[in-house]
Amino acid sequence: MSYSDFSGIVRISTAAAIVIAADYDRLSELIGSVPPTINLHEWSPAVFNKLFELGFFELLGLTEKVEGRYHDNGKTRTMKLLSGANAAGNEAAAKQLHELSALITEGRGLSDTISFALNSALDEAMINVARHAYPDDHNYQLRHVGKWWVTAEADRVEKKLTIVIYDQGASIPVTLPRKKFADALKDKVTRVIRTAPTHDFSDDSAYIAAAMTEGFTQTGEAFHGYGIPQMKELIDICGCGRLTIFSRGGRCEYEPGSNSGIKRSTYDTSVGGTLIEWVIQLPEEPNA
Amino acid sequence: MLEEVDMIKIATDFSAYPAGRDDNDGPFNGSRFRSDILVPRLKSAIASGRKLVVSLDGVRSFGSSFLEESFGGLVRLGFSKNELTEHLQITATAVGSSRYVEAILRYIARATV
Repeated sequence: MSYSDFSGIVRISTAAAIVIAADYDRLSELIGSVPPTINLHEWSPAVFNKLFELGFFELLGLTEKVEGRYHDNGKTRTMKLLSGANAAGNEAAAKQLHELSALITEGRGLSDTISFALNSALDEAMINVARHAYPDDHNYQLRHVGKWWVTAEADRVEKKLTIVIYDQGASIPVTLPRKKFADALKDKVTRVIRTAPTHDFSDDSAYIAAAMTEGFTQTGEAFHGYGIPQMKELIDICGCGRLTIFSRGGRCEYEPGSNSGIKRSTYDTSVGGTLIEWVIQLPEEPNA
Repeated sequence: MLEEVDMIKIATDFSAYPAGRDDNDGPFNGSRFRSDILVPRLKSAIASGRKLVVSLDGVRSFGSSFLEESFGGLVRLGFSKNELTEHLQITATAVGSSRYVEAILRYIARATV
């Protein structure tokens, strides 16, 4: 069996941590064991803390053995990983996010306005996983477990909340195109593709950008298609922050008020599914 | 103006965290809310010439899938938009919740049979 040595990593983002933890959870669920970790004493405190708070060592069955190494850094706190197959886990996620946000709002938690928008956006992301992420007819590179994973990080110094949901599904660039509206989608995508493809995932960000437009969905039915716009709405309501969607090799970034200003980029490697990240700066005022 | 006689409080009569369209999406989904609670009470309100008030107070999550399926779905079931205008009222008092009342009205307006 292979092993994991993270001693060469200086710091790890919440997004990267969830991708790693999700794959350990997948392996745990499928084969009942995961690769061991080595050289824990050489891991950077930032990497160890992030993964410890996430619950990574619980996946390894090591929590009790390593908890003596954990020290609250006073700056960031990461929410314990949650997972599910549909929106049945939305209440637990909402309550954990509220508790986490209390760390950066002097115990108040999120305002109703932001809380409603955040819970609603996360619901839609969970539902997208349930409805679209794992189609039966897709040829998956790895066996999947049909789940989403959610975590978040509260930055107590910068008063910033980062929320991430990840799935190991077929990805938006694979599931979005459907016959019912293929021509409309093709028009939309080709309008934003200016250069010849340089790798297999060259067009992926164009599909994500199309999905971020109200009305475009995997089903092609007119009354669907509000999910991703509602994910953008959270950023607009907060007034500052960022929504980033990685799907297969594409990446799209949205900032408040930038209706047509979605920043796109592509990579020749896949994120292994779809990862959605909201970074929101919490307002100082208690009732904002 | 119709007299108010019946009220549904989604948070207490159904769930404070409703989400999704059908059972595939989760237990407290729009189809279930519509068929188990909303439609019977709305039919009763229409039959008796009264108004049904649906309160969003206490609800913590307003996913568009749930709202569209619950209320846009009424139009797809055959309720006319005139009936809904006359017999259905959506209310919310929490700060930040009025946008979801507007969203429901938009979903009803956009829905087609």
